[in-house]
Amino acid sequence: MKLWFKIFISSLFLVVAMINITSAVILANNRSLMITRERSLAVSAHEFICATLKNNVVYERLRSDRFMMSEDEINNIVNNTIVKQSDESNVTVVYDENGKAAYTGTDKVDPYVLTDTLKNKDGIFSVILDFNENSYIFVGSNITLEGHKYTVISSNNITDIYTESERQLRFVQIISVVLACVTAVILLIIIKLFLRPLSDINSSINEISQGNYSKRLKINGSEELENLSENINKMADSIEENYNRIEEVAEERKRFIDSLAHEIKTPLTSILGFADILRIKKNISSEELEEYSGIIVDEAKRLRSLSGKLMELISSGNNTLEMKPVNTSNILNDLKIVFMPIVKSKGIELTTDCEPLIINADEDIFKSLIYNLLDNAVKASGDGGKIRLSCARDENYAVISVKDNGFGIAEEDKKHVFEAFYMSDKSRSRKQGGAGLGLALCAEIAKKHNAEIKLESSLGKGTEVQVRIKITEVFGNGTE
Amino acid sequence: MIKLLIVEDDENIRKMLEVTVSIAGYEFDTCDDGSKAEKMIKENAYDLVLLDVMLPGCSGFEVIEKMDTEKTPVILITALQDVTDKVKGLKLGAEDYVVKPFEPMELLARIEVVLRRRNKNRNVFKYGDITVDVERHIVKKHERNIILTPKEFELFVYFLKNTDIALTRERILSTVWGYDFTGETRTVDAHVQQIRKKLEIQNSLITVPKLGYRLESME
Repeated sequence: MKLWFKIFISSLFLVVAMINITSAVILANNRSLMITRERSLAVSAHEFICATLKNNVVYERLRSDRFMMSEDEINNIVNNTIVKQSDESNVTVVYDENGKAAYTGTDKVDPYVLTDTLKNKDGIFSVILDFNENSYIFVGSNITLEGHKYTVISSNNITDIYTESERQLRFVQIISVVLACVTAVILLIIIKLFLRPLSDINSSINEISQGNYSKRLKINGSEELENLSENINKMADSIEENYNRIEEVAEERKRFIDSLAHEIKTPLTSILGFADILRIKKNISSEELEEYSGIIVDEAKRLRSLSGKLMELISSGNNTLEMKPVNTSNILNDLKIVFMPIVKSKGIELTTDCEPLIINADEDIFKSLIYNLLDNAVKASGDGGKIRLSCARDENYAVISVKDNGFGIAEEDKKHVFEAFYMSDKSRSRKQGGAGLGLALCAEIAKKHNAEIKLESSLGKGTEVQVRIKITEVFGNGTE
Repeated sequence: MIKLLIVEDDENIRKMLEVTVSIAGYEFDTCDDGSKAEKMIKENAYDLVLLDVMLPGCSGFEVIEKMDTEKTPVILITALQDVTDKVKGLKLGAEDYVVKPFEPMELLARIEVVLRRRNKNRNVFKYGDITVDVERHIVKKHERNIILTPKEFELFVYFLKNTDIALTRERILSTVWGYDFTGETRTVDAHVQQIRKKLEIQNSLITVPKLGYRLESME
């Protein structure tokens, strides 16, 4: 069952029930008040009749100046008195000792049965009884007239009170049905109005779940719904964030696989092509043979270096490093010795400026990181280029920097340079034997050393790569 | 004469493509850059373009988008093996799609198919005293009609188009009988025997041990 329907039905039921209970209580209270009043009226009327009877009998006796009156005479007096006093609704019956009615006003009401209850009772007795579909208050008492015992019972028809109260009840019921209808309509409108933001929320969530992750809910409605919307928006934020991150990872992975496929397939295509041509073509000249086989060997070598770099990249992710304190000036000097002949032959000027600092690193691996950076710098620099290799202290960190004034890297390529196989200029890189794995490897090594690697570059002006690694404090800190 | 444009940025693969198409006797121009290729296609009437997808300048997809593939058919050559890339290439109007690495003969067969579709093929071949009219399906030796079955005819035309090239049985099967033909390579042997006998070319249609067959040129 829907929420709005539940709320609607239960509120409606409660409202109707409350109206009915309240009106029933009020009506019952009202009726009992009326009955009490009617009863006291009946009692006083009864007392009045009894007193009148006594007075009349005494008066008649005194008037006729007799000592005693016969029973018949008394009955006569009783009859006369009561006829004067009775009307339609008030009927009084007087019984003598034997239960014979001395007077009965009408045949309708004969409360003879009550004489038994009244027998030997003092005072006034009253009871409400139904008689011939009418309700009566019977008031009875025993009186003595001239030595004879009489029972006087007067009855009062109070049917009107009951019929009136029933009529009121019916009226209240009709009113309550009408009110219930009105309440129902108002309730329905209010509930729908209050719950409308809920359906908005619902449709928005649906939209989000169908993949529109950038959709956000409007914050409106009552406070609870506002909270709900806000929380759903928060959830959608994190979903979108995760989704984007996953997509980025997938994108990067696809790029990696595409690049890997490309890097493997390019040499393979030449190898397979030329090998097949050598196999199937008749009359191959010796120059052709030399050229084709030369290409096959070159491309096979390219594959070999690619697989070597790839293995390095994979194993650098798995291997545990042998960390020990190393002096940065040793690393930089070693590398300078290695690179000197290379830069000389290319007409590049290499300067070093090194502050000896002790860092915690796997010497060989860390050297290969700087080696790769230098190698990149050499590749990026042409004749007359300048490369500066330096190490300086920045608070607790050693900052090793490799700076060149070569080609530089375009703004849009910068964020990809540490990705595997990313090459800002493919044809140039390939001519220089690069597979685009150098910086990816550097980033991996830097990560292993808890070092930060940063690249600053502007197209045509040159590139600077900085590796920031924490200095270890050892005794005798300084040059070895 | 049929003239192709080879667009490939890798020097060695470009060289390989040059050698491959020259085996089939096609003329060619080469180009290593996407935007240059666009210009060349606009200025020359090539019969077919062999187009690498990953190119400097602009990608092969961009090149194909900007050119008239109705006029000049294109075979894409790429390392990408993704089906969506394949679909993208074909939707853009490429006639065929070759994935690296490929065998040169496979590429030639595909070039052949594309050219035939565009009616740019040679239709009459002469081999010594044998004349073949591909369109009318007639083989004559000394002005005498030789009756060849359809498969024998196709096989012989395939040899004629690739004289001096050793054709492996597998390649022959996939080219003449189709890629999904499940028969054995002995089928090829039987047909070659028939061709040799009917056309009396036992000495020039020779068996290459461990490979297949080769039709020697007449010179």
